Amino acid sequence: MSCSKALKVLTFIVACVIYNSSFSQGITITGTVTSEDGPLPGVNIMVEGGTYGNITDSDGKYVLVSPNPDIRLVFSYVGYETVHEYVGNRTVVDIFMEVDVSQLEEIVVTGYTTQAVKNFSGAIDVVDVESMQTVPTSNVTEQLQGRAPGVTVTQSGMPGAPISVRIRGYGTINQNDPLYIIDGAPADQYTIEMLNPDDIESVQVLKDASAASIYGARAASGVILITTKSGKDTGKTNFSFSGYVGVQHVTNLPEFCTPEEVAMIQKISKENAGITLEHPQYLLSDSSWGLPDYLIPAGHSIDLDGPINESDYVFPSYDSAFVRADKEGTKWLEQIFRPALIQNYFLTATSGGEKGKFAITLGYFDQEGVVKYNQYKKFTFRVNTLFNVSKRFRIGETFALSYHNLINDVGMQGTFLDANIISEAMASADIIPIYDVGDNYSGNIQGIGGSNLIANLERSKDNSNQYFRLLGSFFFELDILKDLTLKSSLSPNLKMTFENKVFSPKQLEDPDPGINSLNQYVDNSFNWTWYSTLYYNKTFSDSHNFRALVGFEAIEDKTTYQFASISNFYSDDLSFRHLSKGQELPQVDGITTEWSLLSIFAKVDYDFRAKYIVSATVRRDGSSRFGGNNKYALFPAFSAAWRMSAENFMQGADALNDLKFRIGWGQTGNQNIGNYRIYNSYSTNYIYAAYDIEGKNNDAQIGISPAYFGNANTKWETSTTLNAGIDLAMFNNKLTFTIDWYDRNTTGMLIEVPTTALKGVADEGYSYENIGELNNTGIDFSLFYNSLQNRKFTWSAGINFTHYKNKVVKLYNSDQIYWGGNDDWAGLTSRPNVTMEGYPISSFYGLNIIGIFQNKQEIENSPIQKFKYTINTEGDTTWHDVGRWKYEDVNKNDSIDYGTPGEDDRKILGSPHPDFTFGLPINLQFKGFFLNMFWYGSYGNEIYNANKRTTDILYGYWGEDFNNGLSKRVLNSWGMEGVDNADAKLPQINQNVPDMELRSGLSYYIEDGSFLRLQQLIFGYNFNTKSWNGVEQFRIYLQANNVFTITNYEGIDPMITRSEINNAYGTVNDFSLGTDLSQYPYSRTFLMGMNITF
Amino acid sequence: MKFYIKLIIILDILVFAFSSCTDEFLEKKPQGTMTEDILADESGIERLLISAYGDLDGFFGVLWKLKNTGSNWIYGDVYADNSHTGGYGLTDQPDIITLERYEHDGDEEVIEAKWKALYDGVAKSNHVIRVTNIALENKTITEKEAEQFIAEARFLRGYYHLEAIKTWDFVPYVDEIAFELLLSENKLQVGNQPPDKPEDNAGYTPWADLGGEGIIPWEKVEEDFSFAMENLPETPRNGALGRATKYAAIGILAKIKLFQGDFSKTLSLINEIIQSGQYSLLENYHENFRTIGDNKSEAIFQIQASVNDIAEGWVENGNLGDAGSGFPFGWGFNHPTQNLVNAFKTTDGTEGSAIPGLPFLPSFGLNFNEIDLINDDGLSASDPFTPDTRPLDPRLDWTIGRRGIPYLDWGIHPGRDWIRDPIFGPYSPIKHREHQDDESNYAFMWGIQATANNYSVLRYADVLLMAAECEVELSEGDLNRARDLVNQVRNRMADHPEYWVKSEEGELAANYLISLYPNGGSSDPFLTKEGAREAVRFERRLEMALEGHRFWDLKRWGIAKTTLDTYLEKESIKRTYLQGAIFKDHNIRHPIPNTEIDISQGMISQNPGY
Repeated sequence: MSCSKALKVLTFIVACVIYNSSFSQGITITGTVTSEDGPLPGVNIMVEGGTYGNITDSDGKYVLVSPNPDIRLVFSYVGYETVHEYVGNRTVVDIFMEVDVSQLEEIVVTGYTTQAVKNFSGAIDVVDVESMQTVPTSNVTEQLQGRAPGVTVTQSGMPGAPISVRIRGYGTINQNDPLYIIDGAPADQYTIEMLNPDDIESVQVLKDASAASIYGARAASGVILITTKSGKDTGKTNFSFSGYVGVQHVTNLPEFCTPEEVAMIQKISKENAGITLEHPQYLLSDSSWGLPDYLIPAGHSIDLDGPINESDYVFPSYDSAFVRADKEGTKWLEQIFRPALIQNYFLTATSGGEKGKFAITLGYFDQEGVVKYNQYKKFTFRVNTLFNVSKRFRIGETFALSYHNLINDVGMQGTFLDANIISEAMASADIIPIYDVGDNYSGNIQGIGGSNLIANLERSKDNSNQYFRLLGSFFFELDILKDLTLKSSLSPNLKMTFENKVFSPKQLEDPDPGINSLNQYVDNSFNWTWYSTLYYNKTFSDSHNFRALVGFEAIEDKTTYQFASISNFYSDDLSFRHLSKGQELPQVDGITTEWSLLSIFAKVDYDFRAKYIVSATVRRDGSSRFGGNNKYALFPAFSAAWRMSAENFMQGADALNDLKFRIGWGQTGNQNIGNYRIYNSYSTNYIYAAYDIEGKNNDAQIGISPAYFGNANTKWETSTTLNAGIDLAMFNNKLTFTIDWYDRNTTGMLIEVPTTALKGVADEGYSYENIGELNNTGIDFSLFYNSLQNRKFTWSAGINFTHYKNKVVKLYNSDQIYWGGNDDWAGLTSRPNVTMEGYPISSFYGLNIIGIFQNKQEIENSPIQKFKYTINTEGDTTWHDVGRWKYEDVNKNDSIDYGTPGEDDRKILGSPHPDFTFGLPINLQFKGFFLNMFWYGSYGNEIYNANKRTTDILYGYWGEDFNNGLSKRVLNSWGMEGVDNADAKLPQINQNVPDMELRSGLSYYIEDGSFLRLQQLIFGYNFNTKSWNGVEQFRIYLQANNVFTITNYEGIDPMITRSEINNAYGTVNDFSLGTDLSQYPYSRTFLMGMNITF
Repeated sequence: MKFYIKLIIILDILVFAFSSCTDEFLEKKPQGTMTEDILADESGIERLLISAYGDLDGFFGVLWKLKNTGSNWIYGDVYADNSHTGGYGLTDQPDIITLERYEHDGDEEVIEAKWKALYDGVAKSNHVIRVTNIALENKTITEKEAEQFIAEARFLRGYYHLEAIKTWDFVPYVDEIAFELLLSENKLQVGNQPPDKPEDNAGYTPWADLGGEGIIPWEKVEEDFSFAMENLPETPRNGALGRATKYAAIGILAKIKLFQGDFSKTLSLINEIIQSGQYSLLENYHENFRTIGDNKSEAIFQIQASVNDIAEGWVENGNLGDAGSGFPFGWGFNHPTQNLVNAFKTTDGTEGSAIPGLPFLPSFGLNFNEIDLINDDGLSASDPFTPDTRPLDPRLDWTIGRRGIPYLDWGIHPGRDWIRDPIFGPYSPIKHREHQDDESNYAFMWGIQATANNYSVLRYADVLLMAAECEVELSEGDLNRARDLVNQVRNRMADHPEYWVKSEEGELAANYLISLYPNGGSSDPFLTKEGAREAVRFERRLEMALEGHRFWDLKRWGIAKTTLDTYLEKESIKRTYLQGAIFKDHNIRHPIPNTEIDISQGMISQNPGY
């Protein structure tokens, strides 16, 4: 759908809504709220005991519709004393608010209920949603980066790519995704992608167990509570529109050698290896070494010595598709990128009155990828309503429908097994041009090169991943007694994924086009959650405040996927490309999984004049994932707080508005361990377990063999957290500071227990037991200063600081290693990330390079470098030569060993975990002008730069083919002209690279990953709309994202996403952190936008 | 107010109704898999049994098939003097090269692969027994049916254990009781018992003389085969040719007895097979190694190979032919040694004391390995070359591919062009490789090629030579019968020149000369025990070459170390990567995978010397 078409639809729907908005009945109350500094905007006005209200506009004015005048209005504003005002028969109620240092009435959502911040004793982040929403993305979780202390967000630059959110480190070696709750309904990482960030009213992060344990077995990785926008009781209908449009560029691409330099390196690498100088292309017909004019396919029928005649060109053909050499260099890496458009439009209508309120939103987001032919589109529609059926009974719903389309998913990251487009571009020889002399795509011809990347991208331009999501809730609230409320909510969550992949090889560069095909993948998931709560809230003798909550919850989830593929279609036309029309190789696949959860929970809070606060929570979860005695689990938590600032003896301390000491302890669980782990089960297997029992040569019978070794005792993983924190507010709440220290210990972590082969082999080769332990400790704090509002010049600045220390305490044994990533593609099986006892999860591991052998003498004085499996034709197993890398003898046994148990010299080389990360918001405002900056940084982490293996080392690997793209670094290898050998980082260029140097577990690839980035810079103007009839707000701005980065990292981008690895039970682990496997880069974006409310 | 009361009542009912079906709500059975109860009937057990047979080929889905294939090319031939690792250079399969150099330890992947493949077979056999017992309890099958299932399962369980004993000697034996504990509680309660003191079993020792305190679970394995022997039918159940039979059980039990030096028991078992009249030598020797010979009269027990079958898109039920997938050299593994090639030379009547057409036996005063057969080692395919014209046993060119001689029906072997890496020598293996003509019996999927050529675990010629050996070794043995048995095997070749390798023009491809041992005279080695022993052993090497038996023959004859030392001395001059390789005493058996020892928590310990 084009964007103008979308707008038309949007306008139409809004028009319909306006005609139907007839909520406004009852009396209208107006007024102005002022303070010492003049009119006070943004004051919250609520009808006491009700659920509706409004806020004051920029002039401090408000309008409120009430069913009757017999009400009390509550005016509240952070830092000011709350005013309770009886309306009576007035229609104009003006209020003067005084600064109140003792009250912090901010309300937070805390799971099944809300609570005032001041008497909350757990650790919670309340995210500044307004500033968060300025991040131009389709994904809410990406916006969280740097905005909430304790929350670590890693992402990829690919539009629509999944994002990893980790709260307070990494609590398990298994799945670490936090639990998301959207308007009371649980959601996973993939459901959160469906949300339109503009729909969000508030985001709160429950960090410690005392806050999160109300969610029991699902809360070990933290809980993120999201509330979407609802209507306001303004008595009138408001519309607002926001939108931006911008352009994205890829930045900081690495420099590659020119074709001439590559040819020279090829020559030197042969010379140094003592290999006869020959190459079908570089060794020219006059026996000199240089760049050819034409690239000649292997097995060509062209007389190389004669003149080449372009008119002999034939396409498609293996041996006559002439390619002119690109002597300047094609720069493949640059060629796959483009400037790309990003646009977002969001329209809201809200209204509310005595009978209820509603919000309707429409959103359209369209982001082209900076990689050609890659695009992401998202369309969202939401209706949230609340009806006051009677004074004590309310019903409502939230309902959102969204549609996403990711076109040409090129992968966020490559893997060690498979390259993605970016690593392939780095590996493409720049001497090969994009087009051959017939203007067809060049390449894919033996002797010239592999697939043409641009052709590949074009070929997959019709591949789409479409998602349809429906997430909603239906609820009612009943005030049984004045202080007792019953709430019940049913939330259906429907996900449909439809992936369509076509392959149309014809008309592109491939002389042997293969056959066209169609793959379709459908994933349907239905999940429902039903919870009911009773909430009691009463104050005794004006001092003792009791709040109690009891409830139950049931969740059921069922997911079915289906896959079908078929090839050989008569026509390449996409209108003919349907499963029913292919001729060959049909394949189908599919399975269903189910799980359910049934829980009861209770929470009791007590405070004495908001001075002494205690709280207790308990939840009992029953899970279909566990059996026997482990089916049910109990999760308790306690917390207490002391607000010293409320003590009488603190009354004199005027500068101090709030000072609270908090401590909490609790347990939470992780049941995100996949389904059916408790069962031993069998499955048919026509590959591993089939046998030709009849002896017919071509009639193997299908057999049945073990599929899973279940463990009937499997249970959830338990995290026990101790948290201590301080909240401080000073100088009329201009300065706020919150700091938390925590210690989170995970026990009963599910570990792969190596199974004796005597048990046989199942499809899933391991047994799992709850025996692992992992620890995270850390500090997170936020400090924020906000100068007073409504002055000509205001400013604010702050910091969100995150520090955690992660340590794997116990695995199966000290020898157990979880390797990160897939197997290495070059058959050199050592992967750089290890998770092992005593070290942080996903640490870097390998041999430490301590220099380069400068002379024979140095070799003789150094430990023998031997590698068990490297043996030469003379039976010699050592390898060391002048100009080669020299490694650290970690175990001091006078020999360098790799992979020999007990003698291995590999060690931990670094950690992907930063010492700290931080976000720095800085906002300035002068009259209508505003300038917002957001800095984000990470310090003390390392990055494994896997690309260096292709661009720096593997020059000898390709034999007689053209080299891959080579980094300019190669020119500074040991022994090259003009290089100071003592300082050289790379060993001598040599086609016979010792195997050892081709391995991935080497310190050469580990780099400092610290960086500081100006993530956002926004400059804009707020128009004074006082005199504009009906317009309440109008704002325009220019914005730049990813403005610049200060870093020593040599790769494209130091902000590294993890690569996704699923285990047999479908859960995703974090074993490949900080490994840059050709990540889809994060682009620089310039955009302009506007917001208008009327 | 009434309204609210109604509402609360409705809600109460809802909550109550819900909580009463809690257990059902929280019960989610695994999807796409089955539990034991579903399988406990005739058809379920048959399927489990198929998967127990399915491990015979060594492929079970985890580690690469060629490393643990049922043909034993690594453990039987590379580890002995018959072949070299091969492949694409010394970095291709370095772990196999450590075996060839006798430098391996319990960390080698190839060792782990073999162990896992065999014990997976044991486990799958035990699954059959386990589920059969459940079915018996549920009365879904009859006692008679159960007996048949268990007999086949115990045959297989015994077979996999036997293979493990051949490889490691001191191995754990997993019966259905130990297995049940393992499955339900992940508890390992069986282990192995290698000798406490390494010196007890250090050095090469024939199995018969294994002393010390180590325990080889022969007895348990024999119980399995005895049960199978008594309960299996004489012909395969339901006519399914791949199934174990009574005679397969007898034959393998005979081999077990032979390994232990119990020659009289071996002989009586073999006589039972011979007297059954069910088996005979195929007239065409080579048919034993191609699809048309599958399950023919010479086959007593074969590992079935299948292609173009239900495993669409996969070839793992097929046979990779030891050299690996693809014509003509596959991945270039299993290169025959010069030593083996030389063994096929036959006398021309002038050498030693023998008549023409006999092997170079020491009793004739000859050393087969003194002069190499002329070869193209070091030559490129374009260099001129004329094959040797000396007399040769015709079995040579059905066993080993060499330059200038037709290689099955693929044309004349061109030498270097078909040799993937010449450091492993100039020869290619032939047995189990595919014929071009057998196109319908090989498959090429996902770049991997496999054939439907079965692999013979036990064929009639093997049994005859085993009997000959017994006659030689028994104090009351009949050397004349030994000669007859050996001649019976030789005669199949000697009597059928129509099945010798021929050029396209129909000429014999080389100077083939093979004759029978005469009764008496200087050409009859069977006049003395020593001479007869040499003749039987030499015949065994020629007849069974590259079928994965050689190392165990050397081992039970007690001549592994002397033979291999002599072999290495000369072979390592040509194959320089073998320089420095020495067969050490502890190499008589392989190291147990270290991972298994680590996991076993003390139940499994390493073999002496490793």
